[in-house]
Amino acid sequence: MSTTQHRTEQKERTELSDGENENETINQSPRVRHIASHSTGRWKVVGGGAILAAGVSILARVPALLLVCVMAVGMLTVRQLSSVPNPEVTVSRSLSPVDPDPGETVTVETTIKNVGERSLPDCRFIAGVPDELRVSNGTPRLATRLAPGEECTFSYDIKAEGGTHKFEDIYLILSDAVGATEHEYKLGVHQRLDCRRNPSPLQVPVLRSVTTPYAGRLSTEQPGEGLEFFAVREYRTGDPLKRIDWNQYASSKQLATLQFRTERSASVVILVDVRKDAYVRTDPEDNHVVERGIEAAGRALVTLLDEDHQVGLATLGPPFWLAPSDGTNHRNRALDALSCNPVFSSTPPDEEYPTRLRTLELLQRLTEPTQVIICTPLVDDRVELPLQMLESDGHEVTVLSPNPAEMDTRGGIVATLERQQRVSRIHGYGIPVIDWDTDTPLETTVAQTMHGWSK
Amino acid sequence: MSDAQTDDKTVDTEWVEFEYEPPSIATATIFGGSLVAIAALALSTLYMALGAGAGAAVVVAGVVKGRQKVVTLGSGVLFVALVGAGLSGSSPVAVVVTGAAMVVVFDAGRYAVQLGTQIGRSGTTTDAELRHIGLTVTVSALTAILGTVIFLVAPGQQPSGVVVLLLLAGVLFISALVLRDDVGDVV
Repeated sequence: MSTTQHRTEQKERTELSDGENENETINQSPRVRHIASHSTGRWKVVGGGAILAAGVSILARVPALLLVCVMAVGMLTVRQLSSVPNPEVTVSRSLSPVDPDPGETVTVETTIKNVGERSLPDCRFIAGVPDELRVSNGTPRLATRLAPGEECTFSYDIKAEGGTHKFEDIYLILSDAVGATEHEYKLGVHQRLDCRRNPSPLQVPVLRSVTTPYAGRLSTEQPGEGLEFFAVREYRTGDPLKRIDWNQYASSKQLATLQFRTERSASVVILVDVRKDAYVRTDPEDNHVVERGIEAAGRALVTLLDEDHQVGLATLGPPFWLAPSDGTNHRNRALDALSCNPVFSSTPPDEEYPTRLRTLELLQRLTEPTQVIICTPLVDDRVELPLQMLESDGHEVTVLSPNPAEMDTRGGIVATLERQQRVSRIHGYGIPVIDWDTDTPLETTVAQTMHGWSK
Repeated sequence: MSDAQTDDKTVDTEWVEFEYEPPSIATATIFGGSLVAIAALALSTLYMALGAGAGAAVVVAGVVKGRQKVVTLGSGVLFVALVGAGLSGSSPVAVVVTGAAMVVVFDAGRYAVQLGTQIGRSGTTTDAELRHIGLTVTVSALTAILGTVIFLVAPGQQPSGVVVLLLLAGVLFISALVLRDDVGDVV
């Protein structure tokens, strides 16, 4: 096959794969990218040994040693005749179940078929597992040979976690028959696993005090209609009979009126930090700390919606906006977004997004006083700007910050100290920071912080 | 791995971690090839058989640890034992059998480390191993037989100039085969 022909085919294959949608079962000609080629050097060692044996044989006049050369000639001749074929394969990958719940086991079955005319004598496949998911059974690796038209299958189980997970490329190492040369390729097979998050509500309040005129469950410092006792005042003409404090009347013969706290609903926007810089982790085995930020956002979201507040979703980083609202449809829409929207992916975005511009956009959208809960790991100084801009514009801000685990390295210690200073500075702006450690339940941290802040 | 072991592992770690493990057929071939080499040398010279045994042990250690260089080193020890046996007057048949076994052990050792590193413990490698090692064993055996037959039936007396020219041609031929550009052009 000529070079031009092969390139044209590759282009066609790319177009084909780009046109595929991301279904549960895909069968496509992957985009083949050549990564590297290298010699294993194995048969050069054998050839060197043969020449050495020939030299010793001549010097010592021992004809039998010449036979060692003959041994090498056989393998080296076969090596000369063999070459590495071009990979022409189709890949089919199926997920079962397609729409898993968090924690459910998903079986991933990958079938690779050799659609070329040449046999692939020694091919090794290493399938890329989504970054945040781990194999619980089986293996995504296989070494085999594939005759033309033949196919091989390997399957493995992964434990699904909430969110959107992208499958990485399949890594292919293709060798000739005797293992002298290896070519490495990446087979681009695009597929996503969407696992709907099912966050549990928090049993503690996460809001500060600002309210909207809409009835809700957030107790305010205003007397009025409500359930929680607020104060007793003198009776005024026209007060309803059911509000009269009859116990006091019985003891002192003076009429007094009971007052309750007004309960209002708040308008809240949960702002999730999904900037590229926020995707940090202290151990390659751990999830990115953004994952915990999204988890915290989900829990805050369902908690506030359960309390009849109007909740919206926004992001720092790749743009996303869901205006504050309530109701079942809105709840489903928000949870779907947190679970399946690529913005809330478990892998970092490719681009940087201007923080200031994104905050200005958000401020334009917030037409009335709104509480903003920012879920950010606070791993860089740039996140302070949106906090200041929002707070100074009259929106009460709360920072919910998943704390990346501390590292023992020098760099890790410096990062931890810098983060502590950042938290202190933000406290100085009058903004509460819920600093969520990996070892502490979110509810405990929220309760401690909000209790301390209200004093 | 037994089911019980699999269950224990799952309970302990919750996920399967990648672990290096040399594939079984290649490892068995290394043991078989080493035994053949040691037995062939033991028939003529015991010291060289011991040397070959030491080399085989180093190869096995390299395969267990997953070190290509240790495998090459062990094969080098095997090669020295082979040359020593040739110099101490071993029969051509013993030399050729040991040589063939040595090539197989070296190739299987390097291949085992490669597969163990890339595919690991739980991956399937049977087809690839059978194809690769089958080819090496077959070609080595055929070459050994052919070489021995030519060596035994070739006329013993040749003018010395012809012998030198033939040897030179042989060395150049091997050099040409060795110095081939492995990687070549990739589209």
